[in-house]
Amino acid sequence: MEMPLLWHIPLSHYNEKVRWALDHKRIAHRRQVLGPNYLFRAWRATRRGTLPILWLDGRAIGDSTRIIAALEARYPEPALYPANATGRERAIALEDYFDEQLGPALRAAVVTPLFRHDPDLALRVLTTGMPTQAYQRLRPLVRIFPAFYRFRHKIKDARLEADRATVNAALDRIEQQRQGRAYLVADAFTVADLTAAAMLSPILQPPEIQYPLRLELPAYMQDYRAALLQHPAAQWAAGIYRLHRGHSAEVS
Amino acid sequence: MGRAQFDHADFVAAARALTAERGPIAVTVDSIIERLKAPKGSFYYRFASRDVLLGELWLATVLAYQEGFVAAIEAGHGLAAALHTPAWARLHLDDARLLLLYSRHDFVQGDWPAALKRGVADQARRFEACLRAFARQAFGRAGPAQLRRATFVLAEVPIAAVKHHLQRREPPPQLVDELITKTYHAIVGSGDLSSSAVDSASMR
Repeated sequence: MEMPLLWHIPLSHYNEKVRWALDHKRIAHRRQVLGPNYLFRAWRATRRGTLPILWLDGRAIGDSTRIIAALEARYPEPALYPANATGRERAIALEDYFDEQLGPALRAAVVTPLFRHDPDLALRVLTTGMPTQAYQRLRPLVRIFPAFYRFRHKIKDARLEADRATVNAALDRIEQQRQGRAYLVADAFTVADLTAAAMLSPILQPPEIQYPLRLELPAYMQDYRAALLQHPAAQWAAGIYRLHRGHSAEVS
Repeated sequence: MGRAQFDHADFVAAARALTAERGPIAVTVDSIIERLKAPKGSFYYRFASRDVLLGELWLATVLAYQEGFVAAIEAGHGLAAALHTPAWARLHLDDARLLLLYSRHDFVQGDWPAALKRGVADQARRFEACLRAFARQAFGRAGPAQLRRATFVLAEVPIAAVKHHLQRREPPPQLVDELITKTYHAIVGSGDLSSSAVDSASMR
C-alpha cells in the first residue's frame, strides 16, 4: 500500500484542516508543498483547481470535506465523526458552516487590508511555508496578483466590513453552539471542533501551528488579531489547538 | 443550515430528480446538496464520489426495469417481455427517461466504481441469459443470428418505439404496443428456423 501523499499550501486553513485530520488519526503520510503555479497540476488531478489534494490508494481526492470523509472510511479510529447519527449530522453541518461561511470570510478579512496597504507583504504571507522562490516568482506580479486572487476567491475589497462581520457571527455561533461546553457536539472532539479551529488558524496563529507566519504583521492586522483574540470562541479555538493539534504524522 | 438529518435515499432521490429534469450531466455534488440544502460532508459520508451515487442510481433503475422483463422471459412470454418496456415506462416515466434516453456511460465518467462493478456485470449477464433463453425458445437455438434477432425484437424495437415519447416527457401511447406487437410477430412468427439458419450462416 502506497503511503498517502498530501499536496498542500502551508498557510491555507482548508489545507490545515486536512493536515490536522491526518495527524489526529496518526496516518503516516508524505507532504508536498505546491507553489503558486499549483492550479494546472490540481486541475489535472481532480478537475478542480483547488488544494489540498490527498493521494490515497492511487487516486487523487480533492476538497477538504471529501478528504476527511474518505479518511474516516479508510481509517475510522480515532473518529472525527460522532458515532450516533444525530451527532454526526450536527457535526457535519457545523463543518459545512465553518467551511462555507467562516473560511472564506476570514481569508477575505486577512488579505483585503494587506492587498490594500501592503501588497508585497501579502505575497510574503500567502507564500508562508513555501520555498523562497515562490515569493520571488510572484514578486514581479505584485501589481496584478491581488486582482487575480480576489477574482479567484470571490473577494470584494468593498466588503471588508461585511466579511469581518461574518467572522464575528461565526465566533458567536461557536459560543451559542458550545453553551459553555468543551466541544461543539456532544462531549468529544469532532470534525466540527477541528474545522472551526483550523478555519481560524491563519489569524489565530496558535503556537501549535506547523507553518507559522515568520514576519511581523502591520499594526492594523495586529489590532484586528488582538480584537478577535478577545472573543471567547477564539480563546476556545486556541485551547482546542493546545489540546488536540498534536504532532505531525508527516514522514519526510 | 436546513434539515438536520439526511439519509441515503434522500441523495438518490435528489439525483434521480435532477437527472429527470436536466440529464445526468446536471447531477453534481454541488447541485445535489443545493437541492437538499444538505451539508457537503453529509453527501461524502455516504458516497465516495458523484460517480458512486450515479452508478448506484443507474444500477437500481436498470434492476427495477429488468425485473418484469426477466419474469416474462422466465414464464416463456416473449411478447410480454417485448411489451414490458412501454408498460414499465408508463408506470415509471422519469426512470424510463433516465434509463432509456442516456447511456450508462453518461452516468459514470471513467472507471465504474469498484463497489458497483459486480452488480453491473451481474445485470448484464442476466439480460444476456434472457436473450439466449428467448432465442432458443423462439428460434430453436442461440447462435449469433438468433441472438441478434432476439436483441432486436426484445430491446431495440421497444426502446426505439418509446424513445420519441420519452423525449417529449409523455407516457408511450397504446399505439406503441401495437407497433411492437406487429414487429414481434413479423420477426418471431412461429419460430422461423429456416431463415434464422440462413442468417446464422451469413454471420459466421
